[in-house]
Amino acid sequence: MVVTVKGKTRDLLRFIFHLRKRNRLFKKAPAAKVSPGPMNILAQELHPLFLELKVTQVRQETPLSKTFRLAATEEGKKLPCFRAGQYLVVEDRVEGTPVSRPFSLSSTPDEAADGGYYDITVKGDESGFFAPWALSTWKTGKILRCTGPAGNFYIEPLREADHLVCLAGGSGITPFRSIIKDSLSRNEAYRFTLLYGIPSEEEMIFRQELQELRRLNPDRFTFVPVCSGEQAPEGMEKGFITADLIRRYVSDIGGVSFFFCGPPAMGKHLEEELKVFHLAPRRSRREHYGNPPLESQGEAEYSVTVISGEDRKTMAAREDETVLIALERAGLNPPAMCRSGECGWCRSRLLEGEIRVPDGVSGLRRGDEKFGWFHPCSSYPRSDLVMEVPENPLKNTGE
Amino acid sequence: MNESYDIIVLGSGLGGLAAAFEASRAGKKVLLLEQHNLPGGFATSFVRGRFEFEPSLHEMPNIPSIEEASGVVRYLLDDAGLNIDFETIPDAYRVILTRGGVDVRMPFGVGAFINTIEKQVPGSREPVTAYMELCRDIQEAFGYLSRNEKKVDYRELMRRHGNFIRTGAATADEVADRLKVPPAARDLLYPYWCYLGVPTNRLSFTIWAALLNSYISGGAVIPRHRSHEISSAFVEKILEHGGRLRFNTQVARINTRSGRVVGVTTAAGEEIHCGALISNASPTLVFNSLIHPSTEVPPAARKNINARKHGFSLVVVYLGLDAGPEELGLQDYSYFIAPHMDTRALYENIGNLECRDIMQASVCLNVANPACSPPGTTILALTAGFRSEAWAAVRPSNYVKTKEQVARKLIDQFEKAVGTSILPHIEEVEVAAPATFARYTGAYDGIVYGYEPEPWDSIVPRAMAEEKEHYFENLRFCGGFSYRCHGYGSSILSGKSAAEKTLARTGG
Ligand SMILES: Cc1cc2nc3c(=O)[nH]c(=O)nc-3n(C[C@H](O)[C@H](O)[C@H](O)COP(=O)(O)OP(=O)(O)OC[C@H]3O[C@@H](n4cnc5c(N)ncnc54)[C@H](O)[C@@H]3O)c2cc1C
Ligand code: FES
Repeated sequence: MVVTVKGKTRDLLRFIFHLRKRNRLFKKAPAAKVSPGPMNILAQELHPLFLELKVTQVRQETPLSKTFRLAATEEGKKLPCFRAGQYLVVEDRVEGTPVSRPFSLSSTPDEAADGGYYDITVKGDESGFFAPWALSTWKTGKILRCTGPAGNFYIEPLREADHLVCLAGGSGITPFRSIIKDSLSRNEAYRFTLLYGIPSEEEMIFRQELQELRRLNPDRFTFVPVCSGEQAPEGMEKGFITADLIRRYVSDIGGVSFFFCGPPAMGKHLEEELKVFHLAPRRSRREHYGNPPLESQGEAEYSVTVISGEDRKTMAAREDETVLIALERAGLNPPAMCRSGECGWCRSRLLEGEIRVPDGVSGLRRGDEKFGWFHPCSSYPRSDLVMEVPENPLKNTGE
Repeated sequence: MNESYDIIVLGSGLGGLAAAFEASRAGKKVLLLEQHNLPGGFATSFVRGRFEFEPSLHEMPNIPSIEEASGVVRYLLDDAGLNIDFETIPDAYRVILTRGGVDVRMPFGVGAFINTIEKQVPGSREPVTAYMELCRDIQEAFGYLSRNEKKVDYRELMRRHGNFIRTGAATADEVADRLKVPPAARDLLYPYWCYLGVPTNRLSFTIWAALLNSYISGGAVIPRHRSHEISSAFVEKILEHGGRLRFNTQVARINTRSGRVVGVTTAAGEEIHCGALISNASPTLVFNSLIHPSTEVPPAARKNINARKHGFSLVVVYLGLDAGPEELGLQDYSYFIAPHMDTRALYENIGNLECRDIMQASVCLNVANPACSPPGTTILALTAGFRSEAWAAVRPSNYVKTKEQVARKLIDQFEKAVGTSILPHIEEVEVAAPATFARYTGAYDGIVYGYEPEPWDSIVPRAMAEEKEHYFENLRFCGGFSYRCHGYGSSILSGKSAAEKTLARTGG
């Protein structure tokens, strides 16, 4: 089959000419530089790799918790927008060891836009590592390196029912302060029922503020503190949050979206409790402040060998601590954000050895599973390990 | 630390991965630098809840022979020996033209494809058959060129594939006009135009013909574990070959001296030397912001960029649904939905945030890959072209809201066209906009496609001009902005050939 478009000879000439057209167009074009792409600039505004923030105010919330107000170190610099419910990862040197931890933003997006600050609220006692350090050493003027806001724990208008039942435990109240306050300040359709589990009255964070919000928004906000301590005061529910308790405050279980945030152990308890409601997964969102507990925890100690180029470094790792913590204890400061297996930021290559991942942690890509990559933040060693660790992009700006 | 490598590959998109793969396979000391914490660029995946989403790939043509121009799947499996499982896509596409009352499922296989068009548009068999035969001929000519890439005998090419030369300067429309393909048949024939992103009145027939023929004649596949499986399979081999891969490492500068690249400086200030550089970052980025000192960039390199038109970006709505495809009535893998198939008008409408009269190309992953999500769930991705200019007025404060509004429009368009209900089933949703692609790939302006392949800037002129437009002796490009134009197959093969050409110079 012979095909011609404009005639045999003309086609040949066209072929030759269209090659010349290229040269002609190139010659004619300006030699000016192309300015940076507007979308690259927008992406940078939305998601800077890291932020340098300064503590501008410290507020004692309860005996065990403080709110740190953070502002840009650079005068007049805008803080990135975020979605109420997201977190920041904050880095510091704890007793000389560089580590980071995620903290939900307890302030609202409007407070960042208009007031130029982010609040994080840290709770901790001596059993912790980073939190007690932050509580005892962070003072006004302290400079912190953070990631931009991250995470997927927010209201998604394309999905959520208009009644949100929020279940908070301990410091897990922080994102809800942001989510609820933000939504109530707008003319949105959402209603909230907040059940807030606390060990004692004095450990109730944002008490006055939440009560005030309830007073101002009686139709949109129901607030139920639930105290597990010996003496639960008047006006508070006693014990733990249970299915029965939820039923008493929520009549339309089938038409609500559940949001949980708090310690993993409480998450596990609530998962059992909520089973009777047969919730569709789209009706149940959660943010775990860490890994779900392992079924059984031994006390064995293994070694982890980290290979980086020609270098090898070997360190100890406990069976009951994540591989990430072992790396951090050795001062490696590998990349980490969510610390609960979801975000994939700690993704590393496992060359040898066996690990355990708690049930219910599911963020690993299937291709990573196939080719031997894993998430150290939610993996516990079961033998000696040999692995590679990616570089920490924040390290480049480290002290 | 002043390290030195034979070859540094800048960026681990598919082009960079293939280049690093070939260079390390040839025994070179290779360093692959990636700013993100994942390999693959657009060829990746992300997890939300119970779902692992495919960010970009709709399909790869499954040409059975590696000898042929689009035989990229055979290259990956048989030549490169990558450990990838592929799933087969049942039909080519379903085209729904809401204003024209068209709703047709187009099968793979040239015979069946022509029969379906004839059934819809009686009397079109002859011109469509001629059109498809011509496309086949063009593809074969590409095969000839690929096999003889090192030394093309143009007289031989003319003798064997005269049609290739005669249609070489033509647009897709010109050839369809010439063969008298009726407009109603073009409605069914043209939907893939959106994979190339240039309307058929400007689209190079050559590249269009190769694309159409390779899909329709060969059928198509997708990797079982999303594109991250392809990228990870490459990484496995690169590491096996002794290549080094560093994530979270951005190149801030390409250091040059007297027309040669001598190395790179990372964002952390580390200097690394190299004998040659293969860049997966586009010429736009390299010649405007990476080459150091910038006075080393010849004006011709920038003119070359300014003369071309950058392709467009996309909006993709990724949906994890809590109902199975049967329950949702989704029987098709690939949906092309538009008011009509006037590609010129569709191209003009690209990037209006109101989504007026736009085309969407959407994919239900489970139809080709039933195990991609848990039983009783569905992964659906709705895609539409967008130019970054449309988003230029969007500020960070209304960015999320804007994405939501666009997502609603695309969902609505899909629901109405297919006659299904999606909104009540959304369990996970993520919306990627041009800024999202800019964020994750660093691509200039979040562009997903490379430079627009008009006839004068299609694969043949680019290939023929490659040596002339080669501004630094030991710097080559691969990926969607390089000579093979964009797309998975092209990017991979461009990386392979960039490595081969680099090796030929360095004596590999
Ligand atoms: C998304 C998200 C949001 C969060 N938001 C908040 C919030 O808003 N407010 C809040 O208070 N908390 C929040 N958390 C929890 C917070 O990130 C910390 O987990 C919490 O503060 C406890 O940290 P910790 O270091 O004190 O204790 P852990 O992380 O539980 O300490 C781990 C254990 O390892 C040991 N250890 C760890 N590293 C080292 C090391 N380098 N050297 C020696 N020993 C080590 C410690 O001794 C300790 O026993 C959030 C968590 C997540 C995942
Ligand atoms: S830090 Fe998020 S997955 Fe490990």
